[in-house]
Amino acid sequence: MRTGADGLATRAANAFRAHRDGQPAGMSTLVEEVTPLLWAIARQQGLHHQAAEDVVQNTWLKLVEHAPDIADPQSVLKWLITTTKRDAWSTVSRGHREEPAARSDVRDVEPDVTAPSPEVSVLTDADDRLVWQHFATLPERCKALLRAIAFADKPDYASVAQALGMPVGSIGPTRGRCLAKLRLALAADPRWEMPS
Amino acid sequence: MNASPEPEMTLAAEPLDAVDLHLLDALRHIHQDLDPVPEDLVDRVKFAMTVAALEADVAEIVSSSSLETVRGTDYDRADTVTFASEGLSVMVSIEHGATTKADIIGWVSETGVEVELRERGRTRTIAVDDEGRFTFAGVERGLVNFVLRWQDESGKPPIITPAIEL
Repeated sequence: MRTGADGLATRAANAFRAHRDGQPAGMSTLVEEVTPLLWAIARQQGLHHQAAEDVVQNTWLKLVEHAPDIADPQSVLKWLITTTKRDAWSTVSRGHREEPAARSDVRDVEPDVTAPSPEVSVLTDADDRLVWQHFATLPERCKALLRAIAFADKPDYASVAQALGMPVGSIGPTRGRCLAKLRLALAADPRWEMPS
Repeated sequence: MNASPEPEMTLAAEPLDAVDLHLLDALRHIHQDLDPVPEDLVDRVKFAMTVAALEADVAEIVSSSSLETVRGTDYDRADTVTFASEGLSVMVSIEHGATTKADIIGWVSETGVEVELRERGRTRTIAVDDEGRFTFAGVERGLVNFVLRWQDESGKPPIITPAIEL
């Protein structure tokens, strides 16, 4: 799927167009294709499980409401990313305001992917464990960017970064600083073998 | 991160290469392992979107028999589920043959209703007969749900049932 010439944005646009043309399977395909990316975005904003599910589901419900306003199907992926990120962000900041310790509490009771140590043992592959350990030391904005990018396809990198509010040039066509940081950290680790 | 900024800037300005794609691929499956999308989230989203798009009322399951054995290995059994919504109830009976397909025989408490069967990737619609009965033959196993629409022009909202597994 990820080796095709079409990126996620194009596949999402095709599915959205099919839905508009009255094919019920279109929306279904769109939800299946894009939900993993939206989940990654919601979770990387620091939402616990239930809140992330609510944010992702609400994004899709908003799409039902706003589908007629989206003039260019090619922009549907960007719309979904922006909506998820904004709602995740406001849910997180509301949590902080109402309950200052909410976020740290949540992480105590529910191990979060941004806390690397407990989960490392889950990863059976030594290479994955190294990538994960160094990923975990990156700045938050880099983790958010790279985690989202990992769920998109190469032609989408620049537009996904932009939809997440990252500056132009964060990634694609050049490597960008976040991937450069990860590459340098791995290169400095004697356990890392550069794949050939 | 003890690297000085220069090599980082140099690396950052280079085009993406195979190692970058390898790392992104690793990051994707690491996250899939550590923090997978909840298994039923996609199905719940689709159901919620359908309800919203149809502006439908959601019927409740008021009784069901032997649904828990649906995944078992007994053939030729019948499962019965009753749904109810305001002013209407639907009973469906699922007859599993020895194949991967099932027949659905249903009865609606009202006439003048059209029943849509929503399977994965396809839908079919029939009107109930004078006694409120309807049949769908040869339905593939999997999750299905029903949308009931009033054939009169009353403007009453359609009714959607939760998904059941055949």
